[in-house]
Amino acid sequence: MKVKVLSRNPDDYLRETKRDIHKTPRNYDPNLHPFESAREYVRALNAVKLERVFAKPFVGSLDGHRDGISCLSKHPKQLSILLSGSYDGEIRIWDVPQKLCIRSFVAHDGIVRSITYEPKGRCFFTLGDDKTIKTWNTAAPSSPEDEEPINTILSKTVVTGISHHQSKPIFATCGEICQIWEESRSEPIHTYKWGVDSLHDIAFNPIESNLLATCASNRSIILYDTRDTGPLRKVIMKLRPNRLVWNPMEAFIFTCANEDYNLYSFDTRWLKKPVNVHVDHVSAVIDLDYSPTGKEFVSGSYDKSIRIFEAGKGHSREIYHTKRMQRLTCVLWSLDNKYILSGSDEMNIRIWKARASEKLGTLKPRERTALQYSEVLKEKYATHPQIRRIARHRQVPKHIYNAQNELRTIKQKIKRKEANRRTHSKKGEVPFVPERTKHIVKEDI
Amino acid sequence: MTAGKGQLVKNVLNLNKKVVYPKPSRTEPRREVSEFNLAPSEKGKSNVRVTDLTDALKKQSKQAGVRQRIRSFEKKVKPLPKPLEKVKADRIRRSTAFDKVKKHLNRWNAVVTSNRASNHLTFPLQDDLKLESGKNFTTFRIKSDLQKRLETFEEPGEVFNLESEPKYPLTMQEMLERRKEMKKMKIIESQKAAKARRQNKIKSKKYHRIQRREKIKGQIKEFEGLQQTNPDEALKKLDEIERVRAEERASLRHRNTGKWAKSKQIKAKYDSTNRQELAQQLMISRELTQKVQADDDRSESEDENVPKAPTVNNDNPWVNQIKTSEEVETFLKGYRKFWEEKNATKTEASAVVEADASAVVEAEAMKSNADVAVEEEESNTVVETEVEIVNLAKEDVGASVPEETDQPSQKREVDPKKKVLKTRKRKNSHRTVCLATTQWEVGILSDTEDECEDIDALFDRYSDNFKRKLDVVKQSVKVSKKAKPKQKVKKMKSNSEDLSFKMEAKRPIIDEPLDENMEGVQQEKENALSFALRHDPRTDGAQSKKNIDPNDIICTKPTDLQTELPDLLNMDDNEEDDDQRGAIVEAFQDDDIVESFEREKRDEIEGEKPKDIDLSLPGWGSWGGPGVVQSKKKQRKNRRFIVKFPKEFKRRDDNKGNLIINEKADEKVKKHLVSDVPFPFKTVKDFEASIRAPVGSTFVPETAFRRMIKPAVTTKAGAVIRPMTEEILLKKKG
Repeated sequence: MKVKVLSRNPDDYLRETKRDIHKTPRNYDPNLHPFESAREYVRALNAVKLERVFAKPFVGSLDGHRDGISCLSKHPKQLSILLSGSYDGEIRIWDVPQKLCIRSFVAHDGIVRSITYEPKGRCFFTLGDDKTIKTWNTAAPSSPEDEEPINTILSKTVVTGISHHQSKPIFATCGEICQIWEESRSEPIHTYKWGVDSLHDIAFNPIESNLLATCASNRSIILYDTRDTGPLRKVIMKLRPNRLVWNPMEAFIFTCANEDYNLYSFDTRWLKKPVNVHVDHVSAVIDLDYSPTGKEFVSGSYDKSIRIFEAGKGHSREIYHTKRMQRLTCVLWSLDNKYILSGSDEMNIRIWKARASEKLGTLKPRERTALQYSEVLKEKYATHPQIRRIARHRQVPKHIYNAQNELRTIKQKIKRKEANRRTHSKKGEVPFVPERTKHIVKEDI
Repeated sequence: MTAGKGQLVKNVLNLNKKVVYPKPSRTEPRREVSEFNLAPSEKGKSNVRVTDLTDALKKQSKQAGVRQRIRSFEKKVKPLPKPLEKVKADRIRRSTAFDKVKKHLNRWNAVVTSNRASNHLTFPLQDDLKLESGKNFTTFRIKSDLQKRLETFEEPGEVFNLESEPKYPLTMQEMLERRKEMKKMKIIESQKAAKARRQNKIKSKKYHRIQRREKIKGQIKEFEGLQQTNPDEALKKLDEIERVRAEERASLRHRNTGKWAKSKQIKAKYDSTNRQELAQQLMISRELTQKVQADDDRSESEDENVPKAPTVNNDNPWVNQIKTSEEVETFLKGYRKFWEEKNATKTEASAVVEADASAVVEAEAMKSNADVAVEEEESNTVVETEVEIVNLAKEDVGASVPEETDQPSQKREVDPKKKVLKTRKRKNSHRTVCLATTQWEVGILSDTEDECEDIDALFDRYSDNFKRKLDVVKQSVKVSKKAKPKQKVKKMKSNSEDLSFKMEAKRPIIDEPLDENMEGVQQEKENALSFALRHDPRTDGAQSKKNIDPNDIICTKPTDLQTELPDLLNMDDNEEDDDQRGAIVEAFQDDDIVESFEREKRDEIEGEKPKDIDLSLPGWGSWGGPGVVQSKKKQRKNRRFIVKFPKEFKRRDDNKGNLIINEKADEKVKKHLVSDVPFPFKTVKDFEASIRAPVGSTFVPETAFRRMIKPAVTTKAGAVIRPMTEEILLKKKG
């Protein structure tokens, strides 16, 4: 008798080891997969739902300051070190992964206005309301009693902000005037003055490192060239810019956090109007920081929330808030592009994930591919209404929600009024002013 | 009293007078002189002049030179202008500095744009960590026995490293010497640069022409030298010269469109020398724009057309009409011949027949004369040229036709030239017809009188050529006129260079506020009321949007799998179709199908129509319960709680008579559909295409899948990303 038996070569379907993936022969002929886009849509929907499920951005807080945080600074070379100054003049150095304060001392009488590290990270500079610029060693002394600054400079004028040159031993301070200092000298090597208004923020361009920008209290942003001429140009806005940060990957782009709830990105070469207006905050924006990739930035506002913006877009992609977080005073984006640090009025420094639903720690290759795949799917189907709805939905605190409603009505009212005025006046009398030019008063040479 | 009055009058009179302040004078010797006391001296009464000082030297013959020099210096040099006010000067300085910075920042354009456009970026961009892989790890190897043995045999050969750095640093003196040399080099370089700049600035065309000629001569000389020493190299040189000529041919120089040519055209009406110059120019242009033909082609055409007559050699650009041509041509020809003879065995290139240069020149000159006529007429109109040609033809025959009276005066100016032509033509006793099959001109050189016998043909050809060219030029002018304003707009828009990249794969870009809700506030449920509002025809217009049908997106052709099951669906469809239709018609002969369909549609519409909603609460404010009849007043009062639906309810099949559209059928899928084309896409088709292509490894091969899921930004865990540095501008790829 002849018996027909189905026989297969086990090499075709058996894995060599237990860790291999199962062998699955596939036919990629599109005609055999009539529902491919429908199936991918469902996958995208699931991915976006899971993303929202896992969106838990708050990592932890650094507790210890006895007054509100006034300024933060990140170490230029080490990711784990964070420096914070508070309103009572105390400086603390933190070990971020362990959430420990490794060093603390009182540096100034009154508020610590600004801190910055030297680019190699060997020492840092602090500024206080007591008109002093102090240099401190990064290495801790043997006992906390020996805490002494390496160098103390008594400034003749009030100083409010400091920024260090990217490579040279030069730093710049602002206050009544803009001053450029050499690390080893006690007198400024340059003093720039344009107008009589005081300056409250200063930032060296990290790429074109001889460029400098300051925010002045007369609502203007002033650009300097430290090589020869000093002040170059000034742009006056309708409301005061609070903080200015340069894009670390695009030499000519800087963004300023403004008192009028918005952020403005400028192209240094065309200051007449901003390249982009970033809206969404419902109160004055106090601080911002670019991600080291230059693709995104984070902003902290007086409305007790942190928002993350993509550099080219006008609206935020993310909002972070907690019940106990009060007015933000400073935000930082860590140098590995993974975390956001925020300091606020209520003495806490908080650590957030830069991408809310990102899994921390190492990923197995298959897990990584799966995540990347779902990321691509989310992007591909982003405009489909269900996916868009889920991806962009956020819960916000009551005060923000109400403030948004209020702002919306105000905006609508202004719009309506302008439209009415336009219809009832001669043609061309009430011009259409684009949003970008609305907030700029003039560019001054 | 009177004295006081007098004083007053005096004072009043003095009111209008200028108050004269006394000149400041120093009363006591002081070290510091106040700048406020320095008043300008009165005009013409300058205190000290240089001449006063030099006059003192008058008598000393020794110092005569000094005096002279000072005088000439005074004449030449003017006092410096008054410096600007500080505010203004600062302003200028700032604006110039800003421009400089702007230019400096523009360097980053390329990097920034490419980074923005690229789909995948890996940070840190520049690797700080560079492992020295070569020295420490890979080079060390345990030597095999054979290697060891070989090493004992071989003497380690000395290696001369010429480019390696000298072992010992230079001595001070050597360094100084080297520096001196460098300095010298620099100076020479800068001098040369300055000279070049100066020469470039010279606008004189004559100067440049002479220069060019000299250059050519130099090249030829070089060539001659090479010819004797290195014939291979010489041929290369010849090629190079030819290439230069080709380049000149490609650039449309030597045309009649230049400023110079235009001015000449105008002058040509009145001056014969100008005319000649213009003609010459045109001829050069034509010569240069003539296409060079391959050698074998030429030989064939020669065989066909004029078998024995010596031909013009157009192979060489320098042969014909450039001033230096004669000398160039003779020796080039000679050399070519020499070379070809030499290489006769190697190459099959046909021998170039040497042309009589002078004859060629004369033939060309004739052509040029014809050209002048054509050229000038061309400046009038094309039609006129045609008239001319006709005239010429007539005259050729012998019949003298009087010229039309309404021809513009400009034409009359042309006449003398034409007469020359005519007279020459009449000289020709016998005429050979020259057929132009190619673009090659074939000159016939039987005797000197023959040189212009084919003038008619030439004339015709050139006039045709001109017409064609004129048309092309006219069209191009039109196009350019149309195109220009657009270009301007573009320029205005992009104030920097246009470095726009095309994104590799398009993804929709969403730039809209987050959908922010208060905690605990539910999203509005879809209820009847909102439905009613939504479907209100008054508001309907604004909301009507085009839906993208998923059936359009997911459109795949049904595939017939290879099975052995009988295909019941498709069997005998076509054959029975007609029969079936007939049967249906027969079966429903008596029924009024139209009537029944309309009834059905009406029912459907009625059924679908939303009913009014009664929100009144029975028993509120009155008795309720079974058997209680509401008063009329109450009923009227309750009417305000009824949410009414609009009477005319829009349906999609309203005006489509024989169609019922079930709008509720795809209600479930509707909320998943995209209602409008998202931003970077411009058409539905583009967007659908982007959606249609699958990404998953279920549908595409693994490698493609890996490529497609590459994230936009990749970072290394624990790596610090430093800001960009200028090195990236210098970095070379690969």
